[in-house]
Amino acid sequence: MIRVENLAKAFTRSGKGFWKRGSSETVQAVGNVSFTAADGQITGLLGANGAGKTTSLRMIAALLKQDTGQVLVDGVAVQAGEQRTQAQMGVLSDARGLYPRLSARENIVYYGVLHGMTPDEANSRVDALAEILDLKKLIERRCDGFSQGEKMKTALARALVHDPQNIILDEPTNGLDVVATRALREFLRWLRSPQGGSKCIIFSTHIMQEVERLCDHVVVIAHGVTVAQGTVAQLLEQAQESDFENAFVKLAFAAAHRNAA
Amino acid sequence: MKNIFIIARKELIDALRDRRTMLMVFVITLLGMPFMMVVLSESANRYETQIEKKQIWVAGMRNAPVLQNYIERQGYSIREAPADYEQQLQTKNLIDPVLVIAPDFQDKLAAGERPAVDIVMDVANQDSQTGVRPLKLLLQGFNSEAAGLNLAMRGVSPDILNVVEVRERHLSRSADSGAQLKSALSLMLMLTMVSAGLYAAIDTSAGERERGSLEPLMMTPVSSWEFTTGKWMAVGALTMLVVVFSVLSIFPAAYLVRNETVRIMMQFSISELTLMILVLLPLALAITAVQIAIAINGKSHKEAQARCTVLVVAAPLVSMVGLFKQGADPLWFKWVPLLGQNQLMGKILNNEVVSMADMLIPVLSCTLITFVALWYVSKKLRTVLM
Repeated sequence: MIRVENLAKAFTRSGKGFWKRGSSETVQAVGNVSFTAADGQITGLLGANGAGKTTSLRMIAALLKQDTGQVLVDGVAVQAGEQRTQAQMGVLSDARGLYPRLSARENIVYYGVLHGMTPDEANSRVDALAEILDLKKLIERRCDGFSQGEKMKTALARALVHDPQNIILDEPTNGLDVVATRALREFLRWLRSPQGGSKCIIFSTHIMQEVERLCDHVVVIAHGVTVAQGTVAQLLEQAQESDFENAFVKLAFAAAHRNAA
Repeated sequence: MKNIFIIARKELIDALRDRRTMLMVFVITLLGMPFMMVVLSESANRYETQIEKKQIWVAGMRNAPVLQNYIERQGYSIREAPADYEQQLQTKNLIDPVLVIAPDFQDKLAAGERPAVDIVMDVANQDSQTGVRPLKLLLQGFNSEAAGLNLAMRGVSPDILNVVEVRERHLSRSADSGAQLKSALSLMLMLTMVSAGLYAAIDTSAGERERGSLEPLMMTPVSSWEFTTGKWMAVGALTMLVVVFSVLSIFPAAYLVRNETVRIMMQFSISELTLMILVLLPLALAITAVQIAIAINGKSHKEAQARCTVLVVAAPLVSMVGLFKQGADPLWFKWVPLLGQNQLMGKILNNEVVSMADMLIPVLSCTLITFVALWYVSKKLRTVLM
């Protein structure tokens, strides 16, 4: 379970002085984000481009230090730059680079071993993930010439190799075709189920369809602030709309107008 | 500890599969040293043959039969210079200086006036300059012989012109080219070290950032210190390998040397080569650590490469500081990486005694630099992502 409480983060772009052009400005990337992602649930972070989804996820993944607020992963507070909570997390961030000169298997096993698995354990886990993600044909190939989708799947397998309880996925369907997207959706549903381990899954996206089809709990973020949360049905009701896209626009942008005013 | 080896192993496999890294390694180790030796031996060869061949180029020899007689008596053969000798000297078709004799030489000499002769050479033509000294000596000899005869005819002893008798005794004819060769060898090894692991060091730090694999890596429960050490060990191993091979390649390279003097200089014993390797290894490891520390701030290969150029340029410059000092080396030389090693290499190449303290001081400074650089990298690994 992941609890996020009053998270905030501002970036300062330096300016002034002799070499730095322009004046310095502070960008409030995340203003106040709070939500709870329960085990056995898929929690969707929904927001427009630049709403602060990725920044929030990076803070949850201990890659970025928050200004205020805290993140609790299974009750343990996340400290940026420390790797205490990372064993329980599988993160697929927007940086999903692979080693081009290593095979897909070598890429994934390397991470498994770094997570404390034995090479044998990691290898058998790779076989299982390759089966599920339809990677079997290219698992022994070097990643050099992989397509966007193939890279994506390999990176996903890498993030999940140590069978983490908490899974954080930043726009995982980017670059995937319809078939692959469906397969991924199936896989996430299985991970959520008791057979799959009742994982706690946080999933960021700006695609409404995905949220509608997949998420048990939706957190709408606009301009760095949590503006609404609940199930898809609850959000529709709150916005008094029948179409989810309309509901999202209403919730996200009406709130922004309120904030601006 | 286990993690460090896992990381080092992966980085090493990655580097060995990288064409750029391996090309650098092979070109430097297999070709660098032999190439340098052949070039040096050829230049030494040329210098020696030029001195030994006893042949001079003259324009207008028939204007000076007396001089011709003297030159031939000294065992020199005279060759008539081509008409366009000035141009040929400039284009380096002619590699010896040319002695030009005016048509009125004989008349002036007979009249007791001082006829002038010109030695023509091109300053840009290195070879033509080496021939100037023998030619001057020859003309001086003619001068004193003619003057001596003139005095003798007037009943004066020719010794009145030579108050002091000057004699040259050369202790070692090869000393000059030897020193040049030694400093070139030392410089070559320093350059090898700086460039050998460069690509691997960049790939392991800035490369990770560029391809977006550093972030997932930092999400594993492995400490930055372990990552830094593992990466450093892999690149360091590669650099050390190159150093060992470069030093060992002195053996086969010696076969390519045609010049006798150079070949004698290149005869090192196994223990001397081992000592050289021992001197260079700590430096190789320190350089690797510094390279990674510089490269980690680069967001891309290209940026890191630009940053690391500073090191590639600075390394030979630092080792050259030793060339500009006069007299004995100051004490602080020992503590400066590259300078200290250069100094030690010089001692080994000159067969001087190297004490334990001489060896340990550079090791100490290299260890210190390595630790500082690695500490910096481990701090940076996670913060560059924030």
